Amino acid sequence: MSKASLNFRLWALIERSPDIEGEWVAHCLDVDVVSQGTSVMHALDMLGEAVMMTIVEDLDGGSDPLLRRAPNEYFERLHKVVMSGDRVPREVALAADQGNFIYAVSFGVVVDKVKASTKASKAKKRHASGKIPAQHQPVFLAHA
Amino acid sequence: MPARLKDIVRAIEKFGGRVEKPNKGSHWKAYSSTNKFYALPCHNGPKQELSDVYIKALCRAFGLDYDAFKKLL
Repeated sequence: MSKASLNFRLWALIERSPDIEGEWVAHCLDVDVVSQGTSVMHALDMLGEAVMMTIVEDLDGGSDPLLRRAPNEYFERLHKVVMSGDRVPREVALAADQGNFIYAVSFGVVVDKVKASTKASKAKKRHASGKIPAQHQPVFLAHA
Repeated sequence: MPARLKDIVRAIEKFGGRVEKPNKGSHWKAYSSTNKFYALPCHNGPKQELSDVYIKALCRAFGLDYDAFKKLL
């Protein structure tokens, strides 16, 4: 049995939902995955789960999750937020649910790929699982 | 305009896709007719409202026409 880990450092935009009051929308541009939550932290947690599910599904299916990349217009928006935003401590970003900021967030995920051979069928099966390690905690940039 | 999760699931199925509901986690698994994957947020159950931002990204992932998809919601 061989085991390998894949490290992904990804960018996301988190902002208030334009059409649902009290919800925040999180968009990971590198894999074009969107999720949402009731606070900045909740939206980021939801996004992390959705991104890991997507990466695991794609790897299990033999495709590259990074080919899902969002259209360029979203990266142009991210670039604007990163260039003009201010870096804020995680605690400040997570406590700022009353504001109307757009957050550019850099976060990481690690996906373990395990290739195991089944004796009965001799067929190789690949399983993948994901996690967000402590050293890959998110970095927030806020843009008013 | 946002849409409810149950309506989005119904529209995915009308386009030939399928949705699986895992026992754990806050997302359901949606697959297009061509077996492309997308995660559906379900932390509030079937009545969960999902933003238009989300619906556009789902349509991009599944290669569906956004206007045609919206008509089914």
